[in-house]
Amino acid sequence: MIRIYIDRVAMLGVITGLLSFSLPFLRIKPSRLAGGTPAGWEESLPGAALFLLVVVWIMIGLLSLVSRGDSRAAFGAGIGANLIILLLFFWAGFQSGILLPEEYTFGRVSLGAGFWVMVLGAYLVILAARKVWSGNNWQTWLLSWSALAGVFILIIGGGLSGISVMEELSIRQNRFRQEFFNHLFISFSAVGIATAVGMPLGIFIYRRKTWERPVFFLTNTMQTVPALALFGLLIGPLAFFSQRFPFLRELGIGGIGWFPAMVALILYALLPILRNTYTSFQVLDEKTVEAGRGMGMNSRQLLFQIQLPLAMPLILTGIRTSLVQTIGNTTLAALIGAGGFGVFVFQGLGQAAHDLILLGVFPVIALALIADKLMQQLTIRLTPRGIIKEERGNEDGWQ
Amino acid sequence: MAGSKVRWVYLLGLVLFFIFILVNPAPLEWFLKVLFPRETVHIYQRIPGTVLVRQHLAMVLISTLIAFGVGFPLGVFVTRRAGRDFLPAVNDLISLAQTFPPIAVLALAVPMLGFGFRPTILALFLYSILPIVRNTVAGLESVPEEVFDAARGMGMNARQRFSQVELPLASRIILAGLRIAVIINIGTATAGSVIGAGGLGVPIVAGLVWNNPALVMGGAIQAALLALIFDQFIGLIDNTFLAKFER
Repeated sequence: MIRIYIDRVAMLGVITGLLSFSLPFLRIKPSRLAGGTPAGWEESLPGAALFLLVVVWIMIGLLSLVSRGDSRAAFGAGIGANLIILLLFFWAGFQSGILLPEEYTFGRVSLGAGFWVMVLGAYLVILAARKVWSGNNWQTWLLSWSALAGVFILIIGGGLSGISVMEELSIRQNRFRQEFFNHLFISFSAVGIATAVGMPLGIFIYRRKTWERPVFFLTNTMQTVPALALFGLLIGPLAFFSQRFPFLRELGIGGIGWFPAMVALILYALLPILRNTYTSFQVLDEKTVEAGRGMGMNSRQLLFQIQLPLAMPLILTGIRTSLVQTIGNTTLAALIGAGGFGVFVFQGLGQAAHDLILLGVFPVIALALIADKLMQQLTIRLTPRGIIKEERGNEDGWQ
Repeated sequence: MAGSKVRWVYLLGLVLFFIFILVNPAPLEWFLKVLFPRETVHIYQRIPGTVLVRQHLAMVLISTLIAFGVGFPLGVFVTRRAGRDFLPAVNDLISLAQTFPPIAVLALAVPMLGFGFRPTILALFLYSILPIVRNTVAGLESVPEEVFDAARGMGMNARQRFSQVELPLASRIILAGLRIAVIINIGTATAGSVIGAGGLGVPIVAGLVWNNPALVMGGAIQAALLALIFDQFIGLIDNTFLAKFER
């Protein structure tokens, strides 16, 4: 006897997925700048493909009726949702070449609202399934990553090359590569420098309490100032200095370019690292430090063998916050001529070319997500065995 | 509290200074002339500063209010028994969405709604709902179980427990979320000028386009002041009215 035990989150996903059939799957555009006409599911998909999608959704829906009580049902629903995402990307890529009318020589096909809403619905089902199907095994991996891996292979294999965003990419591949490295370089060096400054500074103000208030006041104020304004505020003095001292100009240091961007990003990235270093030292168990001192450690040994290792998880969380935030803010740096993916975003905004905007936005989001996951793994690896607690998510994401 | 009095004076000073340079740009112009003697224009004149400030405030306040109106009930719902099923999913979605850069959300709103005021409001709303929900949940979850038991023992019903015990104890964390939302919104609204929403970003972007650092700096000073004023103001509200709920 199967007990009905509805997973309401998965059900919400199923409803979202079914509702998305009422929104357009694709948009057919006569040119890259035109708004285009929406194409519904029946007109853009072959009957069999549409039938398969509907069948998979119905199965997910049935499984979700019992999945709260049965982890195998939850697993099945989750795998079905992964399949949905894969099918969506596959058919969008496959049909994009076929659907364009003959007379649209410069025509484009882009993904419609229905596509994205259905992906969201499937993602909700996966989230629900992961809560029920616990355990660290290959099935969990399959639940979390199979759709993503499939889509990645599809992109590499050129299966999506007919989609408008990918066409924008194909005509500026070199520029894309260049801005990718620019973005990485600016973000990572800014966070690297902020770490090199923020950690010692955090330890310093932990030891000299009189400096605590002014340092926190300054860095807090810095965080409050809008990013665009901070870039602007730095242009002034830096342009002034580079006009006065030619050697700075020869180094490429001026009001415009990568240098002011880097300085602004470092100032932004400083606070989370500084605050977490300070807090982690402050919450350290006094007895542990006393024990170290009792063992005859000097302050240097105390720092490197006790305090820093124990503080590491919280410090890394701060670096993680900084990194994610900096990768996003680097987008704005394109406005002051520093390059990075923001170049495409602002070019796209300037030309009202939506797919060019997406070409800038997608990689930034992907980079931020990857950086977040990597830092999470690093934090888990570097947490000393003795203080391992349950993973609590991005605790310090907000100041 | 003495510290609080100093902070009120600081806030008042910031506000007066902000209004002063808004209605009388001469001192700012003089300052920018000293800094950038080569430029011919030092103050953005196409749109008066008061209009830009009004646009900026409208964007920030409307979007934050809607975000609070949606985010706060949502946060309360997922911490009640009826909505607890959704709590893990909401937490996961928020920590995912939190990695999205605000400027990316702003840029993504353009394909949906076009250029101008409305997409900016949508983007600001979408982004600021995250800290509000997150902190509402965190605040309500942080109320210790013993306090509940005590309230129950005093004969309070669920509604009384919520409004007289839970909400006051969570209020500081909820306000902190609102503060983050407002500060992020002021910053992102500055970038909103890129998609034609007006606001204090207009002189900054105009200065960047015309390669005139004086305009950039003038706009940046105003935008930074506005953000500082709001940060101080919310901080003081917390300090004056809610500090008694310190645990």
